[in-house]
This record gives sequence, structure tokens and C-alpha cells, in this order.
Amino acid sequence: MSSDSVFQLKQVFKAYPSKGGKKFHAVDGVDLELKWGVAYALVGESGSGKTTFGRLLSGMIPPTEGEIFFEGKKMRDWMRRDRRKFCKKVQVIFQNPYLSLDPKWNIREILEEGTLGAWGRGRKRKIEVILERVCLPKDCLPKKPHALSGGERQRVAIARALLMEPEFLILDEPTSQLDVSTQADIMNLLRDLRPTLTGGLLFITHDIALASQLAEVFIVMRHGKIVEKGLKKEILFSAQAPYTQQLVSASPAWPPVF
Amino acid sequence: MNTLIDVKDLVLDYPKGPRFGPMSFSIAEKEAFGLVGESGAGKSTVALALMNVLKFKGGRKLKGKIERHCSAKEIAYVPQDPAAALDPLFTVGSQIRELGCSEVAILEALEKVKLPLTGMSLKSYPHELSGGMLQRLLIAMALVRRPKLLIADEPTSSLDVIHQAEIMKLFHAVRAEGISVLFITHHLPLAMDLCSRMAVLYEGKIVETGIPREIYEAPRHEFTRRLLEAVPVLEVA
Repeated sequence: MSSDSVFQLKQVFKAYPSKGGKKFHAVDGVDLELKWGVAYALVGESGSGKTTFGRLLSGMIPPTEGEIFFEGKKMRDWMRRDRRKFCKKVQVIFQNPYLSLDPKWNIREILEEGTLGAWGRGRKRKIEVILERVCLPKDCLPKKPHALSGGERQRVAIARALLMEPEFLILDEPTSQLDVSTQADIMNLLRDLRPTLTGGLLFITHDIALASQLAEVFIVMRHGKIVEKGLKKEILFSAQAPYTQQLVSASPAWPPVF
Repeated sequence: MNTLIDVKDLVLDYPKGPRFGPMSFSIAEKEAFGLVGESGAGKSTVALALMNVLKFKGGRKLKGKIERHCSAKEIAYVPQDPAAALDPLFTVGSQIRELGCSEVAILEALEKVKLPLTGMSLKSYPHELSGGMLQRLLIAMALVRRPKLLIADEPTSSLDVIHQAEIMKLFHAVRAEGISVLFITHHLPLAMDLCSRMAVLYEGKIVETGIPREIYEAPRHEFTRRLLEAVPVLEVA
């Protein structure tokens, strides 16, 4: 087992029960290795299994078949301390900031949850630093999530993940619920953060243009299978699979052709 | 070209809320008009005002004039979230038939949107169809009454790029058929791709109107420039 891989997937399947006792394979036999320090993009249409893939990697759900290794260790055999270690290294940012923040907690409480082992003034300082980094004003701390806009909420979710000082980030469509200018702000923030993520990241999206702004290696997924994997340039200009070509050409032309 | 909808100095006043307008624009027959702006700019409110379904009570006021040169029945609407627009308890077939059109017209509309729904599949419930299929279905339901104006309120924002491209193809076809389209979106590339003229809405006011090319090449308002910059660009290097 090579030590430079973060995640290694061996014949991973994830099946959900479907109509008439049949099984629906959201992830269908994936063999993959994610290396340290590389920014990956996972692209594909809705229903292709992208989110399930992200959940498998974040350890939220176990695969029905196959094994996932994190730093060479089987995730299935995790003890509690392995899970804690994992959370310090890998953090997830979810698609919907309206669901990923507890509506009954204020922003201070939400962020304090991410400050493991820091108390009192140190913790206060830590939260202030992180707020500045994600460009949120200090006066949002006593507010509850419903008082913030979608973009602000996503910033809170990012701040919460960053408080753990993760090495690897899993981003599941972090901007798809936001409008374009907020999306651009969040993308700028993520790009500024990229150098601090020594382990790299996995950016799950259906938007090739967004993926190209953040990722170096593209993984194209369809019907739970990996269609193609390659460097950004290869995927954008010389994609082999017809599906990849379709995906690349589906984005509206920009700059527009008149 | 004949004008279909003429909006003159439209002002929507909410007693404790935002104030939209004054705004003026017109939509001609057979043209696609884009209304672009951020969330909260008042795009959907304008659409509701055009369809004459805004209620005015409790101090809400509408000033100005909306001249419709078509009947209200000739305006059709495609909403943002297709799943929320259909009743989950009724089959899609029964919801189409509710529109009171002949079976032939329904099948024709379904064929137009390239939705292979016949017999059995008309008996399926909304949750059994994917987001892209539902949006096609709603476009078919909008087309079945042969409208003169189709108002589409962010019709692709809940879809991924591949389905978005397919739906945009449909709107091009609708336009080619001679139906006017009011295309509401926050995504500039889509509006510029489809529309012959467009207006940019910012904080309830129209800050810019023009043909897409002019707006792209020489945006006059600060907000338009910001919108243009916000469009994600492919980064190759």
C-alpha cells in the first residue's frame, strides 16, 4: 500500500433498496486512489452517485461491498479514536447550508463545536480569526442561522470545517444553492484556502467551469461508475469518453458567441 | 413587431417591505426577453404582477400600468421548482388532463418537449420522475394551451448542466415556434444565449436594458459588471 494516498477504494459498491426488492447501485464498483496534496474534482450529472461517493469517503455511510482505506487503514475496522483522528484531518462542507446548520444553535455555538481542546480566551480568539478568514462580521455570532443569508450560512459552514484545521476537505456542491455573485465570492474564498489544505480536496460539482477553477485532476462519474479520470487539460480538451465530451460541451458558451 | 406586454412605470409598494420599481419594459411578439438579477431583486414578483395574480391588500399597492395585448389565459408559466409545482398525490396524467385539453393536444405537447410519456407512464406520480423530466412536463403543460407568452422563472436552476442544456434547447424551439418568452434567471450566459433583448434588475429597479451583445461588451451599470465577473470561467492553466 503506497503511503502517499489519502483514500484508496477497492471495488466499492453502495446499494440502496429500490422498487420490488431490487437494489439500486448508487456507487457501482469503484476502484480509485486519491493522493495527498492533489485537488480533485468529481463531476457528473445529478443522480450519478457523486454525493453518495462523498458520503462514503467522509465515513458517514459504509459501503455495502468493497473496502475504503484511509491512510492505509480499512475504514470498516475503525475504532472510536480512528474516527476522531479522521475528523481532525478530513472535513466536509455540504450542499445545502439551510440544512447543515442546526437552526436552534446560534453561530457562536455552531463554531465552538469545532474548537476541540480550546477553551476561554484561546477559543474566542480562534473563532475571531476564522471569522475574519471567511469574511464574516463579528456581530453574526449571537445570531441564529435563519437570520443569515445563504452565502453567509455557507461561510459559517466553511468556518466550522476550517476550525478543525483539516488537511483534506470534501466539498459537496458548496455553491449550487447560491446565486452567481455569492457563488463567485465563495469560490474566491475556497481558492484562497487551497494553499492551507496540505492534503488536498475533493470538489463535487456538476459545473465543469467551477471545477476547473479549483481542481487539478478530474474524475468523471456516471451511473455510479468512474467514466474517466485525468488531468484538467486532458478532460477539457481531449476527453476520451463521449459522456465527458457531452458534459464539457453542456455548459453555456462563455464568453457568449453573438 | 407588435407589442405583447407593455409595462409602464410599474411600482410595487409593500407597507413594511421592499419597494420595486419604477420599471418600464415591453415584450414584443415572438421575442425572448431576459430578466436578469440576483435573488431578492424582484424578478419573480414582476412575473407574478404580469400574470395578474398579486393580491393587493394590507397596504400593498401597485402603481403604473401593465398593458396586456393578450388575454390572461394566453400567458403560461413555468416555475423554478417543478417538484413543488405538482401535487404529489395525483398522477402526472391526471394533472395534465386537469388543464381541460384534448388527449391529442396533450400528446402533441409531450412530444414537443421530447417526453416519452404515454399510457402507463402517465400513471406515474411526480416523485417517480427525475427533475429534468418534471421540468419538461411542466413546459408541456404550459404549451398545451397554446400560449402567446411563456414566463419561465429560473426554469433550470434546480437542474444540472446536461439537463439545463436540454431544457434550453426546448426554449429555443418554443421561441422558434413564435411564442414569446420572458426568461427570468440569475445566470447571465443562459439569458444571453436565448434572448434577443434583456433587462438587468437590481434592488427592484431596472438598471439596464439592451441587446445581450451591447450589455456584454459595454455594461453601463456597476451591478451588471459585477454579474458579468461572477460568471464562472473555465480555467485551463
